[in-house]
Parts: sequence; structure tokens; C-alpha cells
Amino acid sequence: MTGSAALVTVLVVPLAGAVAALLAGRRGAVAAGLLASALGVAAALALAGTVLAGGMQRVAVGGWAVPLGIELRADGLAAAMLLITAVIGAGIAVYAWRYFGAAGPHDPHDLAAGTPGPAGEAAPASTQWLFWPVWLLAWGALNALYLSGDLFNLYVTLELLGLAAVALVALAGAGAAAAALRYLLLALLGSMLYILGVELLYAAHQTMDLLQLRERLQPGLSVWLAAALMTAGLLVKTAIFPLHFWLPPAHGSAPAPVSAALSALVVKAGFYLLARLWLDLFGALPGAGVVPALLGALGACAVIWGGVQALRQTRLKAMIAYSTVAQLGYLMIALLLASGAGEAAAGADGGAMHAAVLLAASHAAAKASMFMCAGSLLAAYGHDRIDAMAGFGTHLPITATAFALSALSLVGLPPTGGFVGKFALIEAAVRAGAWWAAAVVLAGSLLAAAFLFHALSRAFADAPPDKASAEVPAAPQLAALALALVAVALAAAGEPLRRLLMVGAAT
Amino acid sequence: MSLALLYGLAGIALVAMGLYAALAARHVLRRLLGLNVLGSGVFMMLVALASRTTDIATRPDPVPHAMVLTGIVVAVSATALGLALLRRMHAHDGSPWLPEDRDDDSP
Repeated sequence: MTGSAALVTVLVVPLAGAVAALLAGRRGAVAAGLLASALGVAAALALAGTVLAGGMQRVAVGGWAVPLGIELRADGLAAAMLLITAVIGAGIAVYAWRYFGAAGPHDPHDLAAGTPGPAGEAAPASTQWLFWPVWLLAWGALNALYLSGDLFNLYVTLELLGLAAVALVALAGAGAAAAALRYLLLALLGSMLYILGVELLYAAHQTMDLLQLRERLQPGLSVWLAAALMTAGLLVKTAIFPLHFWLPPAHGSAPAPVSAALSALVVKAGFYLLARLWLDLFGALPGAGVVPALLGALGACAVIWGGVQALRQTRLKAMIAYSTVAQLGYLMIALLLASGAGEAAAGADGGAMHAAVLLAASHAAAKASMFMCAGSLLAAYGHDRIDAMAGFGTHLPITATAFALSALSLVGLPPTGGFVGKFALIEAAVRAGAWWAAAVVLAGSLLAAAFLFHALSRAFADAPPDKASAEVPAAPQLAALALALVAVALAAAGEPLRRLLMVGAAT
Repeated sequence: MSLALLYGLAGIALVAMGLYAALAARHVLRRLLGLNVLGSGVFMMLVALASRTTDIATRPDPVPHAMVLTGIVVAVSATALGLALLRRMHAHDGSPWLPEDRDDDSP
């Protein structure tokens, strides 16, 4: 497969899958979803291979050249994000296959609400199959976003992703409508701010293409205004502290496979765009170090605030959702260290960006696995109150193992991907002389250990003998275990990932 | 004052009004309308740009026009989804306000 064919395949498979799943209807949607997931992983692997061997891949859509046309580009960073998305997405698909299939009259969503609002009610079984087309659409939007090299096309993919993500939240039933609506309003506001910034950039430079813009970028008031608007819009969408408030209710009240997809993959899109903007585009502006410094400071607040809030939660899904707020903070700190000032001090070997992608990948695998475990526990116990789950290690040994492994990776203990990522982040921080960042990372790890091991300790508590729990099919639990093992195995992926990220990296 | 400048200034005014409504209103329908006004302002500024950023003064730049058309499609879809969700929330909770905005005198 040539590079450009692989690139187009990566884009087409999920979108074609979404259409096929919709046309196949209630009975055939699962098959379409699983098939698209398998093909998507193969295409992403092929693309990563060609990028690694042959450098950056480009496709001019419809044969129209930049600046009139839209160019799709796959560099190392894009290929890495595509591969992560495909692998985690496949795990989520396997989980969802039996999760939605098994949901009988005692639908597991009905107590899923970790929200301050009224508890969500059962999702009507007749609409559950819609998970497949909507999820495949969200996946296609993610892939398109990672491949876009054009600011306006990025806006369109952001909107596609946002609408699909809102629809996924709304799948939980009428009780989740408020969470979905809040998410939609903020996502729309975020993309309006973003497009306003894009417009200012176009007015000043007459191009939307990222590479052309980088060459033509002239410092000035309009560029700074554009940068501020786009960054603010993306901060809302990425749920960076203090704009994170919409995330816990939206992620905490969704069905388990949806929570996994949103928390593991969808929020990473905003981080990816922020990294593209501040490392590739605005980084060259004089005095541009201020904004990454601000993002890093917000990230540090997010790590601590998210950790403290997670400690205070009594419901498992809400706790896991706040953990995502904290984990996004690490990515912002890595962004600061990867930006001009940090990398100059560290010798510009891309160490911080490497740490960021490794952390993002480990978090995606571990967080997806953990939300899946929470879904299995919810199905078994009918609730997700942490303190009333005593003895889940005996009832659901596979789920308890998956939970323990993903907790290890989220805390950052060896031998997991989370450990290698955090280690690389602390190394970059120390080399850049940013001791505060190293301290925040360590403090965040302690907080994560406190809340995750508290939840895990319930697995080994003595179960009250009279409490019977419902049976949970093995396939979803094994999918959660597989993703937890991916989080562990990422510890060995450091070197290949570093080589991949060097392809097309802006230096 | 040129026509393009007039369009641009009107666009800025619409953006400001829409942003205020989207942030300050509590009724979700008002917020959605505010976001639509905000979007219209953004599109109007783009249309104004089309006449400004061109090499030949007599021929407007087609790229912003294509962007406005795409943007309108996106805005219509997003508004439809928002209205559907609002109806659903209203049917379920009996209130057109988000839970954090509700208090005793909410409709």
C-alpha cells in the first residue's frame, strides 16, 4: 500500500463504517462496527509504517493544490495519534459489542449518573445500536482532524467531532440531555472563538495552510488576537482547568463505552491542536513563550485540582472523570516544556513532546480500560458507589486485574507506559530547570495513588455474604484487560515512538 | 466608509451581542440564539474579508465565501441538535434551564 493510499484509507474506513452501520440498522450495526475497527487498525498500522520508512505523507484532496485546495498530511505526530486512536477504539468496540448486547431489562445505565442533576434513566434499548454509527463518525472526525493541515478544515473536523461526541453523551437517555446540552453549548462557543481567530489569520496572511502560514507569519496585533481566541476556544474544548467543569458530568453520566471513548480519545484532539498551534505555528513569534507558560501553569492547577476533586468523589465514574481533568494537566505541562524555551534548554531532542505523546497514549489506554471496568462493576452491582463495592476482586477477578493494571499506569508506577511517560516528563522538566513542574508531577502522582488505591482496596475487602451480584459476560471484561495490558506494554514503545515523532517534527 | 468596512463593523457588533447572550442568558433557547447571532457575525466578517483580501479589486476572494457556506451548514446542524436536546431536556426535567441555573423561581 502506498503512503497516500494508506492515508486515504485511514480517513475513509471509519466514515464508510458509519454509513454502513446506519444502513445496516439494529441487527447489522455491530458487525459493521467491528469490521471497520479491524480495518481501521490495519490502515493506521500501514500508515505509521510508511511514515516511519518514507517520511511525511501528503495528499492534495481532489487534486487542488494549496492554498485553494486542502492538503491532508501525516507526519510522525499525526501517525502516532491515529494509531493510538485506532487501537483504543478497537478495544472500545469489542467492549461495546457485548455491553450493549447484554443490557437487558436491568439496564446498567440507569444508575450511571455521577451528575449533580437528576439521575439518568435507562437508555431505551431500541436506540442503543445508534452507538455504532455515531462512534464511527466520531472516530472518522478524529482521524480527519489528525490529518488536516489546514486551519479551516480543522474547524470543520472539530465541529464534526463535537457534534458526534454530544450525540454519544445523549445516547444515555433523556436524563443525560442536560449534560449533552451543556457540552454542546460550550463546544459551539469554543469553535466560534476558534473560527474567529482563523479568520483574523486569513485576513492578514491569505492562507489557511499551516505550513504556508508558518512561513508567512508576521508578528502583529491581529496575530496575537487570533492566537488568543483560538487558544481560548481550544481550552474550552479540551477541558483545561478552569474550563473543565463540563467534563465530569458529561463523561460521568454516559454509558461506559461512551465514557471510555470521550475521556480516552476525544479530549486529546484539543490537546493535539494546541500542540500544533504552539509548537508549529505561533512558537516562532517573538515573546511567544508567555502563552505556553500560562498553559503550563493552568496544567499544574489542573493536576492538583483534578486530583483533589477525584479524592472527594464517592462515585467511581465521577472519580475517574476527575482523574481525566488531572491527566490533561500533565499534557499541558509537557506542552510548556516542549515549546521554545523549554526545549532550547533541554537540547531540542523532542524529549518533552515524546513524553506528552507517551502520556497521552498511556492515559488513553488506561482510562478507557478503567471506564470499562466501571461499566462492568455498574452492571454487576447496579450502582457505582465506591464504598459499597466490597469484594469485587472475588466477584469479577478479570475486571479487578484490569482496574489494578490501569491504576498502576495512571499513577505512574513501573513497569507501565504511564511510568515511562512521567519519567520522561520529569527528566525534561529537570533539564529545563523547571523544578516546580517536577514537583507538581510527583504531587499529582501521590494524589492519583490516594484515590485509585482507595477504590482498588475495595476489591480485596470482605464481601458481605448476602449481597449477590449480577453476572457480567466475559468479553467486555477481557476487552478492558486487553487495554490495561496495552497501557503496560507502552512502557516498551518509547523508542519506536521517539523515532516516529522525529518524522516531520518542527525544529 | 466602504461597504466592506460597514459589513465588518456590523459583524463585530453581532459577535459582541451574540457572545453576551451566549454567556449571560440562562434560558437555553436564548443561548442557542446567541450562538447563532455570534455565528452570523463571524460569517459577515468573512464576507467582508472576501472583498478586501483580493489581488484584483473587482473580483472577490472565493475562499472566504466557501468557508461561509461550510460554516452555515455546520451551524444549522449544530442548532438542530441543540434544539432537539433542549426539547428532550424540557420534556424530562420540565425546565428549559440547565440544572446549575435552576432555582426556586425557575419556569
